[in-house]
Parts: sequence; structure tokens; C-alpha cells
Amino acid sequence: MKNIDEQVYKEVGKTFGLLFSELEKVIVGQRDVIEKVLIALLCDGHALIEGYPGLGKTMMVRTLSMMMDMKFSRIQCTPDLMPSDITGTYVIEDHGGKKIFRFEKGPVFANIILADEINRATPKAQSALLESMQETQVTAGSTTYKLDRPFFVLATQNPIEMEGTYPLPEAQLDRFLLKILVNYPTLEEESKIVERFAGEAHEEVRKVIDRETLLSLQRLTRQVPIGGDVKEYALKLVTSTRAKENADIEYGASPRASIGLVMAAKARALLGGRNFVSREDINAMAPHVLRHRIILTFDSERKGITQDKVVEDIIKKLT
Amino acid sequence: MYLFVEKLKETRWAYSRIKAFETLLGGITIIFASTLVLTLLSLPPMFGILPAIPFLLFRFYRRADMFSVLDRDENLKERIRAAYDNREKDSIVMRHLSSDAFARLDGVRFSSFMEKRLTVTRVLLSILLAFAALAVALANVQLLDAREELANAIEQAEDFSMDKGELKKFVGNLIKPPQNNEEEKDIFGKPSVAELPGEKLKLDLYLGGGEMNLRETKPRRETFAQTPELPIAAMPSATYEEDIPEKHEKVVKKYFEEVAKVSQ
Repeated sequence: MKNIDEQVYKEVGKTFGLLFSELEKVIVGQRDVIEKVLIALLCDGHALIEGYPGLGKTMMVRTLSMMMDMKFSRIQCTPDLMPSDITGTYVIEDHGGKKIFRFEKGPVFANIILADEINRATPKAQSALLESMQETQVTAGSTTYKLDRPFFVLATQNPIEMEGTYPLPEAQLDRFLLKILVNYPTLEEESKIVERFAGEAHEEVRKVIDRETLLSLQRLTRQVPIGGDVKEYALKLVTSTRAKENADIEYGASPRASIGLVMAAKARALLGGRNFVSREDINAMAPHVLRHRIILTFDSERKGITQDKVVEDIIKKLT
Repeated sequence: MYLFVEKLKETRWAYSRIKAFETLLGGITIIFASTLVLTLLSLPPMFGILPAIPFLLFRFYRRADMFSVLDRDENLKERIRAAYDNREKDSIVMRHLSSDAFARLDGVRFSSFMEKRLTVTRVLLSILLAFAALAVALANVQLLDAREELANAIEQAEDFSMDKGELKKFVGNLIKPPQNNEEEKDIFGKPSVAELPGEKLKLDLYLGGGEMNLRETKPRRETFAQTPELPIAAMPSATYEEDIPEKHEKVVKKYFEEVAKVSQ
């Protein structure tokens, strides 16, 4: 395993370069979003993408899974989605005249799962997915089924059409490492998109890394050293969200956010070809790690203050 | 242990030596500046060392930590700090970081730690101030007599609990140049009034020299003691007695005989 890790580390720059270049064959722009998704993958975490429909979220995740030679499944969340539709169910099979129950694995038994519009699913269905995210296992009846590694859930949320939806509660949102905001492409990017997808057939991507390589990258991510002062800075940043003197915040981020922030910073460092975590990594990842873990006061929301603004103010104060 | 740790210690050692030299130079500059000021104020120049003491103590007390040697390069500092804080761990990434850290520390020139401009300025300033202090001392140039001013200020002060005379004496002893104890005593003693009952004295005081003439007012009666009359006789006031050694008598006698022959 060490040999594999050493080999992978030697070629880490080349690997990521190839990954991005292959993705760019299909996905136009969204470099920042792709980077965050990769960071979540490297941290063995999960990501929540919030963006308007038609921005290429599904395509991005599908392309990523194709490049990584991993099993991909898509769950379209609707109000009538049942937990068994996610985890799997027992089916009756006839074997030589005998009826037996066989567990039919659900879409959650994949490496990369796209849960589209998770806020449209009922809380019961959401909890089935979230439980598998947390435990990396599924319990059906009296049997527990371990999920394959790596296991990555990319959930999407539509910020519009909130009628009839079940927004994820804050306790559940905490399970996502990152919340990534997807914006509209620029005019040039949109022009390229139209040219690519309204024209002839676009290019196919090839496999860049396999399952073992990704697992190795995840191990290497954890090995990236972080200095005591940078770690302290990250902790100060997170604990500042709980400070009573911060009048805009009702509830701050939990220790899970501290872990997530340091991990995300390590992944960003590795992705950037660095072998140490810098303060810049912490600052860059802080909004994505904290925005879904901070609950603002009603007054702040009324004034139009966002979580990102609060995090930005905290960073300015600490710098 | 990773090689960069030793390299970091070596770098820090060089840095602390250079900073100690800069601090000493700063202290010397302060001493010369203070000496110049004190000389102009007619105060003892040896007190010029006093302002330098807190400066030196503060600078030496506030020792540089392991990583302040790399303050100028924030990126390098973060890298080295991450490597140093994880020096006990052994991993692929850490090994790569340690070799990277060693290579970067190896490229650090120790001469870059010295603030050249500041050092040159301090050296030139020290030389200038030293010459200025010397020139002022030799030419006896004074801006004001601080001792006099200080004494006057103390006299005007109202909040002192000490007796003013004692405080003035205390400060006077502090700022006066050291003298013999005997000479410091007030030779005139405490002012006092002498009374001669039934006597009137005439006191004449003259301006400038402090000359004083004290005489009794009564007319002076001069009495003389008359000596008895003695015969007047001339007597030599002193008798010359020859005291020539015997062996020289013959030489002297012969000399005078020859002089007599010549004169004849």
C-alpha cells in the first residue's frame, strides 16, 4: 500500500492536471465547483450543491464518475420517494419452487451517488440517505450491509421552487462537508456550452484514475502536514462563529466544522501541488465549510446578511 | 530526525547572533546620544548609559522564537512551521516536505538577516554622536545648566512631602560632581547671631567681593608699652663667622696673598 501511495504521490500533479483537462472536455467553466467537488472526494466527505436548474450539476458528477472508473447512481428525489427506494428492499424470488427473500441493493450501493433535489424528498427518505452517509452502511431487517469505499454523495438543492419541499434540517446539513454554490456561466462560457452541446456530438472522456488511486489520494490527503499556528487559526475561525459577541449568529458551527475545515484545507493543498497547509487554504475553504453550519439571527436575515458575509467578516477580524 | 531540523537550528543561531550585534549597536547609539544631551545640559555624562539599559534588557528579553527568523518570507515560514510541528510523524508527504524544507533553508543566506541600511546608519550615527559629544565636552558648550534649573524647579514644587531644603540637598548631592566630604561641608555653618552685650559694632559690607569690615564703634585707644632707654651703640646685626674647612684654608690664604702681590 505504501508503494502505491508513493507512486501516486509522485504523479499527483500530473493526475490532477489530467483530471481537469478531461473534465474540461465536457464541462465548460465551473472550475471552482469542480475543484470543490474533488476536495470533498479527497476528504472522503460529501457535498451539497445549490444552484439553479440546468447548470450542469448532474453532468459534472456523471463525468467525474466516468473518469474515475467507479460505480455511479442517480437518485431523483421526489415527495413520494421511499427509504427503500434508496437503500434497497427484499424481494421474493423463486428458486426451484422455493420462495426466498433476496435483498435487492438500492442505488445507495454505489461509489458516487447523485441525490438530485434532496429537499424534495420527505424527511423519512432523507434520513435513509443521510444515515448511509454517516454510517457508510445500510441496515435492512436484521442484516447490515457495508457500503463500498470510496463512498461519495453529491446532493443538489434548488434555491427556487421551495413550495412543497422539505429543507434539510441544520443537524442533517452538518453531515455535508461542503456546501457549494453554483452560479450562472459567463457569456463566453455559455457561448462555448451552446457550441458544444447544440452542435455535433461532443468528446467522450477517458478514465484517468481508478478506485485504488482515489483511495490512495484520500490517504495522502490526511498525511498533508499542518502547522500549529495554522491549525490554531482554523480553530479560532470556527469558534468565532460561536462567540456571543457575534450579534449576527444565532448558532455557530460545531467541532465537526473544525475537522471539516482542516481536512478541506489539506485537500486543497494537495490539489494545488503543495505539501503543507497554508492560511490561504483555510481562508479559501472556510465559506464552503461554514455557510451551511451557521444559523443567522432573524434580524440579520431580515437585513440581508448572508452566512458568507459573516464568515468574511470573521476572517477580516482575525487577519 | 529530519535533516531540516538541524538546519533550522543553525539558521536560528546565526540569526540570533546577528540580532544581538544589531541590538548592541543600537545600545551604543543610545549611549552616545544620551551622553551628548547630558553634556549639553551640564549633567554627568556617565548617566548616558541609563537609557540604554531598558532598551538592551527589552531587546534581549524579547528573544526571537524559532520561526521569526523567517518572518520576511511568509510562505517559507508556513512551510517550515508545518514541517517542524510534524517532525515526529513519518509519512510520504512529510518526507517530501522535510527535503523541500531542507533545500529552502540551505538557500537562505545568513547575511540577509542583517538590516544593512539600519546597521550602517547606526554605525555612522554612533561615530557622529561620539565626535559631537567629545567636541561639546572639550569646548565646554552648554545649552543650559540643568542642575540650576532642577534646583529651582524643586524649590517651586509644592507637593513634595520632604523638607525642601533636604530635598534640594539630596538632589544637589545627586547631580553635583563627586567631591571630598570635608569640602562639601558648609564652612560657614548655620547662620547664627552673635551677641556681645553692651558692645556696638560697625559692619561695612562691600558689593562684589563679599568683603566685610567689622569694627567696634567705640573710639580706639591705643596704648604703647615704652621700652627703657638703652645706650645707643652700633652693633652689627649679624657676625660673619668664617667656617672654612681646614684643608681649604691654605688655598684661600694663598689666593689672597697672590691677589695682594698682583695689586702691588
